[in-house]
Amino acid sequence: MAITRGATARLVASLAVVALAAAGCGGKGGSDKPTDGTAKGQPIIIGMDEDSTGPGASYSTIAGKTIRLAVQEINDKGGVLGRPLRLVVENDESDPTKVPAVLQKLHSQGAKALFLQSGSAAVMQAKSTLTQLSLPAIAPTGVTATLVEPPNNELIYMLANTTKDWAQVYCGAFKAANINKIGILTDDTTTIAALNKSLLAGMSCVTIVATEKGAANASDLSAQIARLKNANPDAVLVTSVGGAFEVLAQNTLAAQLKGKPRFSLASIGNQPSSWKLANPGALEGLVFMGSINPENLRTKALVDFLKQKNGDSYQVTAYDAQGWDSVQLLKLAIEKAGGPDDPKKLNEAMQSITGYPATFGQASFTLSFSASKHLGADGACGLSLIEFGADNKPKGPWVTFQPPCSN
Amino acid sequence: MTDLQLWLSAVEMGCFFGMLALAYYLIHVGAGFFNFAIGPYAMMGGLCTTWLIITYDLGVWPAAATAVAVTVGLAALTELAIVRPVQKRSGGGELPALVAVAAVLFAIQQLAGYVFGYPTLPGQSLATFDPVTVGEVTVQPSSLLMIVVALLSFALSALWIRSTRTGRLLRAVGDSNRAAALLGLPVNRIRLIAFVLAGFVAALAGILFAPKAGVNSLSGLAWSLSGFLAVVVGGTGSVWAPLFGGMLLGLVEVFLPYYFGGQAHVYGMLLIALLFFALKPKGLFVRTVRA
Amino acid sequence: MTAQTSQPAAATAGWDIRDIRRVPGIGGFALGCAAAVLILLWVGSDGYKQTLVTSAATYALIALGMYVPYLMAGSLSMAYSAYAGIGGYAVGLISTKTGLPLAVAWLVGPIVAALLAVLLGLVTRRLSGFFLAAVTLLFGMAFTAFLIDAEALSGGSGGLGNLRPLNLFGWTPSHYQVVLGSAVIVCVIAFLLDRLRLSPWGVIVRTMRDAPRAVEAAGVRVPVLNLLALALGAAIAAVGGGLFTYSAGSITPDTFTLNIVFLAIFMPLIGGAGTPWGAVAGAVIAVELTLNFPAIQTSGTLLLALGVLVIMLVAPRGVVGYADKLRTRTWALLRKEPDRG
Repeated sequence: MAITRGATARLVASLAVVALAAAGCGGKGGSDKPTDGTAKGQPIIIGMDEDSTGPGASYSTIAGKTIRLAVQEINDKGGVLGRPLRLVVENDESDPTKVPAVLQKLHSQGAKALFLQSGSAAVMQAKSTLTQLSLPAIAPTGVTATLVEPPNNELIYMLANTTKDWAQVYCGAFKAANINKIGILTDDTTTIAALNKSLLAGMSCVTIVATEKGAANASDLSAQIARLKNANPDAVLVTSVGGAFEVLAQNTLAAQLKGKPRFSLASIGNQPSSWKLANPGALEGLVFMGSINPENLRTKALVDFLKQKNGDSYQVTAYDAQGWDSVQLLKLAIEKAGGPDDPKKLNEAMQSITGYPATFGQASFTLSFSASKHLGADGACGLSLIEFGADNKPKGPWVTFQPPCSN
Repeated sequence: MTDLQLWLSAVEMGCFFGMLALAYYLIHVGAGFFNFAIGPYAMMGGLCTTWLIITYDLGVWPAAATAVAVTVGLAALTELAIVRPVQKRSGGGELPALVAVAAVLFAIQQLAGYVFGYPTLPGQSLATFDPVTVGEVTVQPSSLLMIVVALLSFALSALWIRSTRTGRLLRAVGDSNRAAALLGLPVNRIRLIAFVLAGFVAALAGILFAPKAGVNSLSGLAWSLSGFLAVVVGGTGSVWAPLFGGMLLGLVEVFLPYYFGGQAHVYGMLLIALLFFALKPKGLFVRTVRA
Repeated sequence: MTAQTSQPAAATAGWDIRDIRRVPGIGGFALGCAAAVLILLWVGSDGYKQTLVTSAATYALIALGMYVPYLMAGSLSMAYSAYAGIGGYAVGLISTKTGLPLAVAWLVGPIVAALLAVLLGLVTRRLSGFFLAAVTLLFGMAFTAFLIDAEALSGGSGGLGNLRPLNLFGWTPSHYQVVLGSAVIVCVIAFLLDRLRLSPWGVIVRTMRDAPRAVEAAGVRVPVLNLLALALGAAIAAVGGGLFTYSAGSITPDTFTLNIVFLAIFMPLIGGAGTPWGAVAGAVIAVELTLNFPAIQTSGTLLLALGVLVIMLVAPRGVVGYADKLRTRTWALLRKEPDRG
């Protein structure tokens, strides 16, 4: 017995060492924390709810990194009203039960406004807590229209075009490409279920001949795609949060429905790491809803800036641009409100921002807010359809159709 | 059910589930319980391989070999550090062992996420030849490899259990750890061998399956459940039973969504579990004579 | 109060042969309440700390719910994400779709959850151990899929929000009073479960875990007892789900995930499986580690998972078990002192 006890003790010790090692490098998230730069004065504290370890980590951290860089850049240039921005970050692992506590924690650390950079179920859960705390918040990469609709939407803002605009753009594209029947392949996440509801409601321009759903962590979609094939659509639209599901869908579509036009949402274009998952050439010809447009000079400047910071091979995505713009919008709002301390004033200042030229979308694309408009995008100009090339990388704007830029 | 591409998918899924079930089977035969950490072992194999290639520029083969070694180590650690002490203390009760493997499952997932990151990483192809086209069916190299290796591992396992002394001991020990110990059989060594082999098979399955849809730190739980269902459906009566269970499950996973669409397989899996667990908890192939 | 204390003691003396340690229910209650008061004093008016308490109370109630069938009857059901979800949706639905007083939700939710648990228990009555765990896990997954699909009922993926404040006969409790109330509910339920554990029924249920045939032979119907344990557990978890939904103000299909189920299995292990208070202590530690551990930004959950493994190996009786051992030893020491003199 004594011998086995000794052996157990040793093994326990080794487990404990693993635990300690894990704890030891646990602080690595804080190492790229922005400094105060040249700004003096009392710091303005901004909270960020970032999913750095949960299921949303793949997209949450992209914008999170750029938000940090944007804060650093502002501080280096003298800060906001001469005061530095200071970022406090908490992680909710996209777990809605943790959201209230995380937001409360950010609030108790003195945050005057928040960036909600987490899974959309978590952000939905956050809305009512925001109202309790009366804290204004921006969801930089949100695209779900319900996020900025009642209930509890008084304090939450979003930047990019929502799915209502997407529906218009797709309709234009289908008309231009002479597509009348589409089949839809979708994942089973709550994010996409909400998105589909508003997107498909606006797509009366085409007949939806089949809607197939697969699990987000599916390892096989050939059944769903065989069903799509039986319905014989003119084109297939994949709606998913991206990642492995999207790539599996495109791989299977490329093999089983060769030559059928394929469309997708924005996520696949924003996830360079997912492109590597695809079989060689499997993404070729896929058209997705992009918002990075090289003709926008502000986008170009951001691309240069991020390549300088992150290395030349860095692929700039819409998440980067939206994270960047969120920080600039908050800076504007604080300046308009004359300070960060009155949440009501800050919220009104946010609603008074109009015509802010965005870093994403086409050159003339702007963002405006008002008491009833919590979604920044002015018109469909923030969108452009981008096509993938044979190397599984975005090739450039789709030649058949681009959303018209009215303003 | 005439679409051959669907049959191919079903067979590929079936082979993967079958290999996971084989890993369950080996531990069940040798140690008399179900190791729910099989799924995370497979995840470890797939994820570690890719991570080594991305982070250290390792070749595919050395990376895969390292990943398999790490997984086998984890499996051995599960037995030596967790299951054996817990079972010794609880006197062979089922519940403490179950909770222990649940904790192992959870811990491996968290550890993998911490070390390898949380996003889904692409699987690595061990074979690089052009997809084979047979009639209307396109066979990806990874699918072919999955099927071949699954059949091979089942054949080798069957051969090992039937014709080696250790293999035969495995069954003797699994029937009753206590009786075997009284007879002076090397129970601990045999159990460890079962865990190591199961870890090896699971890691291999994970590496081979990862190219299909990528792998992330949370893939393991779903794989654990599928493998468990496969081994329950197949039963533990013969070495080949898990493959049969896996194939059946693969067919369900592919054809249920084909005929009923959408989430049918989520409800379908629950239904199959309820039906089989209630009516045939020992599976389709039951060993009637216990040696 | 005296009558209450003597009853479990008598019951233990008569019935409980296994548990010689005999923690009288009231002792644990007093300690638990003292800890709760200390925590509430520490919280004060800080909104964040208040939320920590409601989160801990939610986790504790789910863990207590699992405790009933799992540690008392020996069946590991993992469908508790669904039961907590039912409690939450009861609050959401009654608030948004009916004119009934919100308090009714805490009646309806637990009853529906208990009924569902009985139904699932009947279907799975022949299963135990690994089989039961797998089926109930699959059930939890299917329930989430159902919540997403049944949009007319559940509000689909967006869930339900904008809930009414609670109104008890014209009195609307403040946020702090809700926090206070949740601490009280946890203490009362833990105390009642502790009493139940020591009562004749509890002893039978626990004997059933170890020797079902003997209990059956004594004329007690094991399946009925098992179902009762499952129903009770589900109802308690539903109370927790309702509590969280009320204090957070909304619920979605993803609010209660499998992650919580795993954490809820581990909480009694961390705290100590000997008494329901262990589950409560485990919940407090889990919340502290995953939400309020400043040194580790990234991996409170990883630390928790590894911690569970370590505790399982070196301290199988958990934190409360250790504290109790320490207490008994100190007492023994104190009693010995005068003998020597």
